[in-house]
Amino acid sequence: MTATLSIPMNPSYGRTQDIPFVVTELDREERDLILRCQRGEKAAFEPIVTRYMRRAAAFALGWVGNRDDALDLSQEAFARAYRAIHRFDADRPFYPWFHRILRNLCINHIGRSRYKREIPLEDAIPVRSGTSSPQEDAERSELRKLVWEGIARVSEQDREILILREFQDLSYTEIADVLDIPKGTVMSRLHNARRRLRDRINEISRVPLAGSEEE
Amino acid sequence: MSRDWNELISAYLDGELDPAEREEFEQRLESGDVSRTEFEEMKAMRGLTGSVQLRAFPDHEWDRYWAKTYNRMERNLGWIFLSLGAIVLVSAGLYELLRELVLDGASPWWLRAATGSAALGMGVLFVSVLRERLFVRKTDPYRGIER
Repeated sequence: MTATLSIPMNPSYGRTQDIPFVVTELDREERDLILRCQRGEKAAFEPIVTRYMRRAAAFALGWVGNRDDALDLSQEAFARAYRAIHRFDADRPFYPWFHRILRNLCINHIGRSRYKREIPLEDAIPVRSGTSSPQEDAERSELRKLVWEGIARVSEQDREILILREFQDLSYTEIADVLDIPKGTVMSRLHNARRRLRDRINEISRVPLAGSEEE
Repeated sequence: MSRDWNELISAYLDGELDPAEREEFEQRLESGDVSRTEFEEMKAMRGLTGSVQLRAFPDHEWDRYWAKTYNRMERNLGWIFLSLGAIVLVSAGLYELLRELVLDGASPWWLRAATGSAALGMGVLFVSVLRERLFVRKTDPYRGIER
């Protein structure tokens, strides 16, 4: 069962349009939890953390490429969100607000010089060991490296939307909610991000993607 | 203003167009309004990114996740109290030190001059940094974003 609420504007949230959205029973529960957190009940934050921890850690992993750092960053983002929870408007969805804190932590993290980066990707369809030749293994490893290097070379804005779509498999509506932008903007921003990713990958591999011709 | 149908290539490939838009897109792809080259490249790109996924985290990480986050929340609170206390203590200590050294006529003149110079230097640096921060705050396009 759902109900439509008129959401009051909160200038600190950074939203420029008054976009009504559908509040589900689950979101009402979240609102109650946030209000309890704002009254100082730390325990009320646990269900919120539990609900979003996988999504948050996966996003951080897509950004920084290291599982330990991704867990640290996502936990730090939750801790900072709790510290600032009194400034949060409980009538808004929590995750988009939290996502900004997390993204900024990730940006600051990769700006540091002592930062260990790995390739956090694996085959989407796992290959059973012993069923592929060393050459095939090497090719797949090269492919993973290519995608990861390409993602690392695009702008922060492009990387963000690519991680949400390509690695976290969010629908356009979900991406629009997380980034707090209209769905039409998601369409154009994602397509342009893919164009630039294609260019970066072509630069790295020096071989245009299959099916493409020089324009 | 005419629509850039090339920008809908990704949405089409992702299955995010509604049936009417989808049908129109296919017609425009056939008629050449949509770049066939770009369409094929984007298809290849989706195939490439779709062939990989992020490595999963070990399950035990989720069992400890809340406890670790809770510890951080407490630690952050601890740091705030510690910082506040330290600022007050250091300020009081510096004040006492300056009072002793600068105002005490028994100290040698060079020691009083050096102390005064160091205090003045710290003051200038503090004001300079504060001014820079205030300027950046005014012009920072990301000031509304929580860090």
